[in-house]
Amino acid sequence: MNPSVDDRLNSVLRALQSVVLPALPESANLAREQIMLAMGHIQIIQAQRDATPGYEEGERADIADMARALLAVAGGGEPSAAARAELETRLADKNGLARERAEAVREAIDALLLAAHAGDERDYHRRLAAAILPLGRARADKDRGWFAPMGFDSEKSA
Amino acid sequence: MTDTEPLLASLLEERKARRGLPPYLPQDDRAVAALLQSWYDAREPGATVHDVARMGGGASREQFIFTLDRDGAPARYILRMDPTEGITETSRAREYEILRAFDGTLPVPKAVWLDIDADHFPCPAMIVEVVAGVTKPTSDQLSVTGLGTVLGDPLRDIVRPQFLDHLATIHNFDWASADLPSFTAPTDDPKQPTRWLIQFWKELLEQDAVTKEPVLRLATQWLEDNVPDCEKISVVHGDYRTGNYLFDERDGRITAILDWEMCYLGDLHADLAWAIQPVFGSHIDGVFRGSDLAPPAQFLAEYEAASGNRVDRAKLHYFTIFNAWKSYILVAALGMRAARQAHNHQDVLLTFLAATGPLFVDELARLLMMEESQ
Repeated sequence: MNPSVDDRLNSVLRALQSVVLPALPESANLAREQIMLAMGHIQIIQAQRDATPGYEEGERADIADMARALLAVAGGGEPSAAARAELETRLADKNGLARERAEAVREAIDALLLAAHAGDERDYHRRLAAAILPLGRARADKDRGWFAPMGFDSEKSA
Repeated sequence: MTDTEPLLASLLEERKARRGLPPYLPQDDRAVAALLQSWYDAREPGATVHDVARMGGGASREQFIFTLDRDGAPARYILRMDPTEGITETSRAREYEILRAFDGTLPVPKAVWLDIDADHFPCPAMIVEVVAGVTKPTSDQLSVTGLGTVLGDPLRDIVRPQFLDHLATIHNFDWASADLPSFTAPTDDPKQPTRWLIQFWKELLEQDAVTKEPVLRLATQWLEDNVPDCEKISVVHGDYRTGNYLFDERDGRITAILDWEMCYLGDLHADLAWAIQPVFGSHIDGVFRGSDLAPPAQFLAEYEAASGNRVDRAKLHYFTIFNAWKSYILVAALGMRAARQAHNHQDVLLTFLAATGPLFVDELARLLMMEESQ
């Protein structure tokens, strides 16, 4: 029988916990800390493994929704025209992994915000911001939930 | 060059050159022991170095604790060294100068030696005296670098007045008369202190961002468009919060204010907003306490009484946004970039801390929405 991913990760965890960690002297503070963190990472990755493709696709879908919302914002003029066209192009591109496509769209949104700000399209920029912030907040809320197992987020980790 | 403090502008240029360096390898403990001995051989002949041990904790510098024996009188010291990159971008010279400036005025570790150009050690290094104390109650083994530290009763009521008195001393310090050659006072116009600050962090974000987060771009633009005047240029600690001081667990006395590396001359509201930032506080029974010391209103009122400085709510709000933005840059830009380049000895910690990034994006979006609605 082929070893499953869980079998392999569990064996790594056991090696770290029952062999490597006890072999380290109490004085090896940094090494002990790093073993503990490595074990924490592995356990969380293991728990999230099946959900990871869906999480990354959700990230892509959310940034695509934001891009569509921005393209629907009226009032953009000449200074930001090229950035809007590039955003449209990137949104239509179906090539690459979900996270690569998401980052390509994010870069185009960034360029649009820079163009609108530098081109002094203040009203247009304000409307872009009004579209981005609630969507950005909703996405951040999902990301906080995703990373809650790390234990830093007192609200989400509870 | 970035429009910021001259020394920091140089530092921003120098770090670009380090980007292409090979992975950072943690220093070898025995080699460090030998380097320490040869350092003291040249400066304090007869002194012997022993019990050199690598320290855990922290997320930026590589640190070793050691004993120096002079004529049978042992004393403990810490060697702090810079890896290629880390969660912060700071100058050992500035840290050394500010520690020496406050020596005798505040409880700070005594800075004794500096090798700023890495003439002896393999990277810029500083040696400071060890101060006794803990950063969190010993019963708390779980929290990392002060995040979520709970002092609890009665400790918080013992620590709080000291914490605020020390902050008042920092903000009212006569920096103009101090020996701080690596610092430049931003005195050209009332916006220069905060403009310099924003441009420094913006350049770090531009150099290190691993993702183009739209909310971060909006925050950057808002911070640039709304720079407030600074009425009083103060020493700003830059990371003043629970987790960054040592206290004696028996009586609650603060024995040292730590982590001065992000210190600069600027607007004191930055420190106030930092100390009461949600991520460094506690939520217990529906009560939020900044740095687990006091609810923000009480914290600020007691600070005003201790310092004589008036807290401007609009500026506090500006620096609340700034601090969420700075925090994101630290954990999700500098920390992540250092880990991706394998330029730090704590990559595994840096990628763990980067998971706090969405917390700051959420906070920034919430704060900017408040602005939009006004």
